[in-house]
Amino acid sequence: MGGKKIDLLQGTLDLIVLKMLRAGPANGWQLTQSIQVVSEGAFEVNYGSIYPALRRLEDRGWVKGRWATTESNRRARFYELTPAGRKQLTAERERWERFLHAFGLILEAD
Amino acid sequence: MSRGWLVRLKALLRREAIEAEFDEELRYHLDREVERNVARGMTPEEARRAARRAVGDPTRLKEEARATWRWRWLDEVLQDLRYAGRSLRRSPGFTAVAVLSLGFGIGATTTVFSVIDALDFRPLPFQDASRLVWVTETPSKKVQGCVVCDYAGMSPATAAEVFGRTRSYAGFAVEGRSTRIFQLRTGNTVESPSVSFASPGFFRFLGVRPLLGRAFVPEDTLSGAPPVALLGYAFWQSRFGGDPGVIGRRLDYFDDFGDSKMATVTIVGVLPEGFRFNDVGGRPALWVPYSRQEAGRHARSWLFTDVARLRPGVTRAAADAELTALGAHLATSNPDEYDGWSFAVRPLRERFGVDAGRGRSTLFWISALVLLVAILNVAGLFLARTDARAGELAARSALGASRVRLVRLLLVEGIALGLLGGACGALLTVAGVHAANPWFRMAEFGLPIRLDGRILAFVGGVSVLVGVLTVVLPAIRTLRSDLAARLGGLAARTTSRGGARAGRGARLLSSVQIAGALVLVTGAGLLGSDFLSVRYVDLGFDPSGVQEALLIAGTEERSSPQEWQGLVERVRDGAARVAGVSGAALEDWAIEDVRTDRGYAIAASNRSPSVTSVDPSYFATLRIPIVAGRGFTSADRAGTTLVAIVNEAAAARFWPGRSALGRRVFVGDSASGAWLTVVGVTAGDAESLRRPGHLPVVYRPLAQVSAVGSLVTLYVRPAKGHAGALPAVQAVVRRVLGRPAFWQSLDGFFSSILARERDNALALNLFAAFALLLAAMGVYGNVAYGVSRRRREIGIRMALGARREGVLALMVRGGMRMLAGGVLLGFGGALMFRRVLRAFMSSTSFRATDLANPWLFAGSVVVLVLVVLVATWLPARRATRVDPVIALRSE
Repeated sequence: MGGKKIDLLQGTLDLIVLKMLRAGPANGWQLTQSIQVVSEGAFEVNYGSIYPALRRLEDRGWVKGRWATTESNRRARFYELTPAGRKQLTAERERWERFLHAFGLILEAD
Repeated sequence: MSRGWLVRLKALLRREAIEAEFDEELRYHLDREVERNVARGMTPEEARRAARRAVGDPTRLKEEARATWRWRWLDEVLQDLRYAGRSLRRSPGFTAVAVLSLGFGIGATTTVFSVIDALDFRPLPFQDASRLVWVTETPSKKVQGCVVCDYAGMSPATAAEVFGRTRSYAGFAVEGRSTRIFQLRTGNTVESPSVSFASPGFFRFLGVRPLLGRAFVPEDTLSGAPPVALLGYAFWQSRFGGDPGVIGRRLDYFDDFGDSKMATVTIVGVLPEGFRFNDVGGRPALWVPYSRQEAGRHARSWLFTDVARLRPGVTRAAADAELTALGAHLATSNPDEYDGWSFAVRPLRERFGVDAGRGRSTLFWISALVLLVAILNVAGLFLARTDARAGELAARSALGASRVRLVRLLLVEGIALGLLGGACGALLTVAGVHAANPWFRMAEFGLPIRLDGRILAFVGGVSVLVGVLTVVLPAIRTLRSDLAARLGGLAARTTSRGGARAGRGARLLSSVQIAGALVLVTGAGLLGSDFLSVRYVDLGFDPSGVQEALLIAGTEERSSPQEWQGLVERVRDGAARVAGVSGAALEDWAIEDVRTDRGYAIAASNRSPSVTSVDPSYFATLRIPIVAGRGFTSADRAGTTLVAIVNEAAAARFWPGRSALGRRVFVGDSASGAWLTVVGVTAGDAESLRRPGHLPVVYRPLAQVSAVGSLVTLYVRPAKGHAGALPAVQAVVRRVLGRPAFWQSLDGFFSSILARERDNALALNLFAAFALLLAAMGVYGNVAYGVSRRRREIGIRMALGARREGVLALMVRGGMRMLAGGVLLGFGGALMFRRVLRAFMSSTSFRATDLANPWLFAGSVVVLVLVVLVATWLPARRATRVDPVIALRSE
């Protein structure tokens, strides 16, 4: 958790959320926490962006929200990937990798 | 995709539940945040505050989340709709007037649209109907008042020429109304069911299968073949009770032609219920095969319809060009037969829509004008309402509603009104279509006028469009004015200058409204009077109320023509003596050779002229005016100079440019014929009912004819109000002849058409009256509103010592100025509309009668003057009665 915080690039939050949900259903709070942990503190996704993002993804049919009980016996809304969301993740991921590759070529060119 | 849809739809419908869920989700997040902070060692108080800080404004967050729904606009529109509904409910008077106005306008337009749909767009219920054409032969010069011209087809003789010499057609079939008289007699009643001919392939050609039995086959037309007939569905039902065992049954009838004896046909089939083809003069009860002999007998009858199917790849225009060329050729090679006749290849549907077709484009424009007046009404009301709501709109604007949002609010309100009007219009359309069906005979050809999805879509489209149109003016005003001006306008609009400026739009609207109503009233009146003028002006005689009986000589009477002549004269004299009969006359019609002292000669086989022997009372009974010379008298009898009367058509043809009086015509063959001296000229002739155009007719006195024919027509005209005299006349005929005769009303053949003309006129006048009413309502609303808006100004004038009469006069003057503008505009519009109508009508056999017009126009202006007077007077008087202090303080 020692890394410096960096801002998320435009349009990457959706990919991050989809990727996180591939591991299994999670609620909004868990997502913010795990994004922070996995990115070693670089990405801090706040409350104000995770929920609109989840709405957007649900709206497009890529994730599905469902009320369930947490370990501490409280009701929370859990999100899981839909088959369409899985497909979207693959597509987004490929796109992102192509982008990274091209970006790398540009940075390394003399 | 479908899931996204569902989510959004659910979101829309369960908004509150979703919001609650969202709240709960956020609460959970917040709780966890607090828990974490506590775990990190903060006091609960600090933990909560830190969490709040991290989370930010939950309301904004919710807004953001909601904004991600792509259907947010719809959500807002629903909000606007709810608002519009509330605001429309708050002013029920405005809403009712607007919805009814629009409903009537939309209902009128869509009714006319459904009529046009049936007339012009839906395919005829025949096989391969798009390539079916109707080949016609009509007089080249339009004959005014020639009702039959519109129905004229082609005579068999011409058809033989046409189909023998052209290459455009893949096949053709002929249908025709028989002029033979089939009489079925049961006891004291004689029935004369209408009979139509059909060429053997006719039904197969159209793809029509008999309900029972078989259609005709070519063998049915061979000479010596047993006579057969098909029953029309209605006749089968009414006379045989729908008995399926009717096939093979024999029907005895009296055949007036040739042998004049009883004959028999065998019923071989029944036509399906939906089959309609030609019902001019009543639906055919019987169909008989059209044989070569029949074609010969009817060689010169025009009541035949030649239906042809264009060969693939041949357009109607190409077929028409080929036929026109053939017509030109025939006119030079056989001018007696074909000079002055035009041929045309027309879409088959024109055969069925002729009577309706004439008025339909006018009807369309008139209904569109009604809609326009309705839209203007609503637009005016809306404008006034928007002005009245300027305060409310300004307040909304101040509270942060964008101008676009305000316009959208108006738009939603307008569209909501439009849709309500549309719903009202749809109901009216259902009623209108119901009423229109009997008027337009499309239903009789298997194309009932009806509502379908397309027409409902049309209603919907028109409603939305109307909604948008009505708010254009208020929307422009809202868009143009900025907040400050609008707030300022709150005060300014009640002052004279502001009021004048704001009122300009409304006044302009009223002027256009007045103009529209005037155009409508004059146009409809013009057309209406034209429809009405058909009846008496142009036929050349007056058939109304006249009954005709066909007196047919029996076998023994035939052997003694003198006795037969005595008999029919006794019938006539007996009929004339019956109380309530104003005239009775005999006519014996014949086809004879005619030549003139100028060497002009026409053989009997040609289509003109007809020679007819009549008694002296004939011209008076049928009301055929004598324009030169004299009529026949009882002095014109055997042994005196042989005389004749010709009609104007004959005079013009025989002795062009000269007086016909004193000229001579030779009638009959050289053995038995005689020279007759012309003593009179008639303006018209009764033949125009049966044949296209005014063709030459030569009349001679019945008393100078050596032998009367075996078929004599007796005409009886009951005196006005004595239509009940007919049974007594029928009894006289029965007593003298010893048997009943077949009676029909002389104008029966066309009375339905003429009745429809009157109905059309009535419909148009109703339209016009309604438009005037609508316009009056709209003008009243606009003007009265304009005056009441100047209450403050009136208050100031009164406070400054103006006299009440002066203020009233001022207001009335303003109203009259606006009215004058509208009347001028309307006058110009009406003149233009009339020119358009006249151009349209010159393409038909009808003419525009201008007579009733100035009165209609003047009458409408008077109505509008009264409306404007009352609309300015009442509110102005009310305003002058109010204490100026109160008037100034109001708002």
